Amino acid sequence: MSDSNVLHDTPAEFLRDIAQQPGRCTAQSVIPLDDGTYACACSCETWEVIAPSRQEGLQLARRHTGSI
Amino acid sequence: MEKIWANSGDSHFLEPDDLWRDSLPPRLAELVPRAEKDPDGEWETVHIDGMSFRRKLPTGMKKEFFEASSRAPGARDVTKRLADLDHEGIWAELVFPSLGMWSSTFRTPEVLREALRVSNDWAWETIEQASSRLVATAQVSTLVVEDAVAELERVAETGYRAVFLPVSPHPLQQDYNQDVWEPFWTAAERANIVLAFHIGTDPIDFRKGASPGVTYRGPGGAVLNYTETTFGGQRAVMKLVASGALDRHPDLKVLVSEGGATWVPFVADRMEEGYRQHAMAVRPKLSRPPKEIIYSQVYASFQHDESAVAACAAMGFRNVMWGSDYPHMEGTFGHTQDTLHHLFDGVDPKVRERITVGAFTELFPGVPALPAPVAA
Repeated sequence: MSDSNVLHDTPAEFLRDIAQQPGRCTAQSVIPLDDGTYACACSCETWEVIAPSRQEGLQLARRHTGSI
Repeated sequence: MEKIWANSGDSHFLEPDDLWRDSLPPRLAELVPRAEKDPDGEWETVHIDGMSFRRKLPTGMKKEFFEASSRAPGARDVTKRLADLDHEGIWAELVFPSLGMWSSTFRTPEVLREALRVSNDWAWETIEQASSRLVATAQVSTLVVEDAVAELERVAETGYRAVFLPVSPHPLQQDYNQDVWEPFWTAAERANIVLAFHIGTDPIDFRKGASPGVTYRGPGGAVLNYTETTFGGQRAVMKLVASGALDRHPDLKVLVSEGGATWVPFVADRMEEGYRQHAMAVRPKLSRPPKEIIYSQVYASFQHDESAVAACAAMGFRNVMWGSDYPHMEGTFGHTQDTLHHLFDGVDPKVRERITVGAFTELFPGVPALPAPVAA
């Protein structure tokens, strides 16, 4: 682990930070599917939706965490 | 107090944050990992090759941990780095990348190939050429073996002496014990390039939302997770030995950085036992015993482990190498001399020389000799 830029963590450390706080809304993923849509999920494990685009998926994630 | 000088088999450099984005054509640059903070400053999003991951930014103790990890002035400035090294008593270093640790998250072969090519050109010019004390590790794609071989041959022409490898290859590629990797081992041996594995680099398949190998939660989680990162390096060595790769390439050298050293005699004994007890099922047959292969071709670096000295002094494993892990928080920056004296005061001078100097110069003979002792 190195500094405040997440890219100077390793991916394992990045994910481990998330895994150590299960059940809480500490991270969301937006992953492309084969049909062109995006699967969105949260570390709280209670939120999973399909979004038409990556940007829309991120917006839904922000709404889920109450950021907007 | 006598100043102990030591070479380091485990150090790191922080590349410019925008190295890849500034150097690649736009169609590739938009796919490399990049992080951006939300306007509220509380969240950040990492975009990687068409995927996005959003996380709450660290606060409190986590933030302090981050800040402690970047306190070394030379973390991203070579001139300041050499001043740090002089002060700490670190002479030559094997320098690993930082951005390249994200290689396993790429999905597009061309992006990974070209990004690592940019990194290699940058590291050669910025790190390796800055001082003969710095040995930079090249990086190759482990997604496409043909790309790995081509880049290895290119950087060998440049003059690189070591290549960083994650402890397991890209999630979409076959494992290191499979025949598909044979051309890479052949090329590395031919080029006299050391395979430098660094612990904690287990690849992650972000597409599947996979956790990083075994992840512990709850009581003891922090220590359990840190200790768990050690084992990938041991598995990499086991694969290279059991598959016959090191046997077929006796001049190929392997370094496992930051993973301690006493695991080497342990794993060698276990593999020796397995090879003998399960001889009827063993394929391929090896021309030399596993223990002999490991003791002659595998090197291991540690920073604080007190038992590591005994691996060299009492267990017959001579390829033990000290490492500072500069500038990382887990490293010795700020207390290197205390660490070295704690480890080596009262130790046979020949053992101390082997661990602090000899094993490193055996792998990288071009580094300059230590400064002459100065009378107090």
